[in-house]
Amino acid sequence: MQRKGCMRESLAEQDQQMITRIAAGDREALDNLYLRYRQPLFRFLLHLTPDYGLAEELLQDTLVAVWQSARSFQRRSSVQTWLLGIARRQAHNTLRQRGLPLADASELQALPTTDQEPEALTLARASRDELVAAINHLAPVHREILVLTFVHELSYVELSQTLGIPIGTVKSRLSNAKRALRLRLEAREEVER
Amino acid sequence: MSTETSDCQYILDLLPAYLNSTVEAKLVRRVREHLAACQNCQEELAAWEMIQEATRLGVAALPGPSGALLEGVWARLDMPAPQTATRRQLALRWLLHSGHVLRAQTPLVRKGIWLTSAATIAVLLFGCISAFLTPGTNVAEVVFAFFAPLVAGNSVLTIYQPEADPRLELALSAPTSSRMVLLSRLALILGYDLAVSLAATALLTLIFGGNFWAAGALWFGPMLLVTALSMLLSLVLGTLAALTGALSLALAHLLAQGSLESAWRVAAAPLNSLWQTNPLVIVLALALLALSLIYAPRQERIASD
Repeated sequence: MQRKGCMRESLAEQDQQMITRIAAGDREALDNLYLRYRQPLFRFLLHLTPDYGLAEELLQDTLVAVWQSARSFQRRSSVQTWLLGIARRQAHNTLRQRGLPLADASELQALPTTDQEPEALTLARASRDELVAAINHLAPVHREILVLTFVHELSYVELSQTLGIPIGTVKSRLSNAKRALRLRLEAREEVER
Repeated sequence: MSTETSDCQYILDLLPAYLNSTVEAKLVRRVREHLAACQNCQEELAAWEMIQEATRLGVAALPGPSGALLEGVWARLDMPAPQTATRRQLALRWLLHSGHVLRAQTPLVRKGIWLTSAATIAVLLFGCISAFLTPGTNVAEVVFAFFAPLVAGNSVLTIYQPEADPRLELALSAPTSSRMVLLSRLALILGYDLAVSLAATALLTLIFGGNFWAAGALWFGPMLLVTALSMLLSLVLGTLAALTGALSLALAHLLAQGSLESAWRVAAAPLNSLWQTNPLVIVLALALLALSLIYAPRQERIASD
C-alpha cells in the first residue's frame, strides 16, 4: 500500500508540472495531460449525459477551459479533482442551457427506509452482471458518486470539493446510493418471482 | 451496546474510503480492528467490494473519445476572438438579462408595497387638494414635496430583508447575484413611486396651476436622497433605524424652514440645500445607492449566519 502511495505522489507531482507548463503556453503539456486523462474524464462525462457526441463536446469544452484557466490552478486539490470539477461544471452549464436533465441532488427521491434486511444480503445474492446493470440504471447523482469514489478513487475531501457538498453529505449520498442499488435489485427479484 | 452501534455507524461510513485506501492512516487500524470483531460490518465491506468491482466493470465497458478530439480543441483555441462584436453582444446580452431579472422580480416583491405607496400618495394628493382649494397658490405642491419623498423612502425599507421575506430568500438562492436582485427591486419600486408622484404632480399643477417641472423639482431630489438613505440604513442597521433616519432628515428640513427658535434654524440650515433637486443631492443619493449595492452581499451573509 505504501508503494501505491509513493506512485500516487510521483504521478501527482508530474500532473502539477504539466499544469504549470500548460499555464506557460506549452501545447505539448496539454497533449500529455489529455493522453493521461481522456479515458477517465470522458467516461465520467458519459455518466452525466448518455449522448456520446455531447460528451465529446463537453470534453473539448473542458480542455479549452483547462488551457484558459491553468494559471489559476492553486494546487489546493489534486489535478484529477480539479479536472473532474471543471468537466462537471462544463457539463452542468451546457445541460442547463440546453434544458437537458442534470445529475442534480434535486432529482433524489426520498428513498423508502424499509430495513427488512441488510443491503449486504441483497447484494450478495446478485450476480456481477445484474449489479453492473443496476448501477447503470441508478439516478445519475448516485452513479456519479460511485464512479468518482471507486473509479477515480477520490477521497471524501476530494469528493466534497468536486461535488460542492459537505463531507457529511458525501457519506450519506454514498450510503443512499447503496440503498438505491439494493431497492433496484429487490425490485428485479420481485419481477422475476 | 449503544457504543457498539454508534461505532458501527462510524465504521460503515468509512468503508468506501477504506476500500480505496483514501482513509486517513490513523483510522485504518481502527477500521481493521472493528472489522475483525464485527460480522455485520464485514458483510457490509463485502457488499461495498462488490459495488466497487461492478462500478469499475461498468465504466471499463464504456467507449473512449474519438481520436481527433484534441485537434478540435486546438482549432477552437486558435480561432481569433471577434473582440468588437463580442463587446456589443455582451452589452446586449446584459440588457436582455436585466430585463428578464426585472420581469422575474416584479411578482416577487411584496404586494403590500405597491398598494401602500399608491394609497399613501393618493391620500396625500386628495389631502392637498381638499386642504388648499385656493387657486393661485402652490402650498399643495410644497406639502406634497415634503411627504412624497417620505412615502418613497418608506416603500424601500423592506425590499431587501432576507430574514423577513421568504420570497427574497428564494430569489437569493438562484444564480442571479444579490446585487442584481437589489438593483432590480430598487429600480422597480423607485420607478413606480416616481411614476405615481409624477402623475400626482401633474394633477396638482393642473388644479392649482404652476410649473410642472418646478413642482417636480421640489420633491424629485429629496425623494432620491431619502430613498437612498432609507435603503442603506435598512440594510446596515435595520428597518427601524432607516425609518428614524428618513424621518429625522425630513424633520430637520422642517426645522430649518419653520418658525422655531433661530438657533435651530441656523443649525439645520445646511440641510435646506439637501431638500432640493440639485447635482449635489443627486450625486449624494447615487453614492448612497452604490454603498447599498456594495453592502448587499454582506448583509445576506450576516442574515444566513
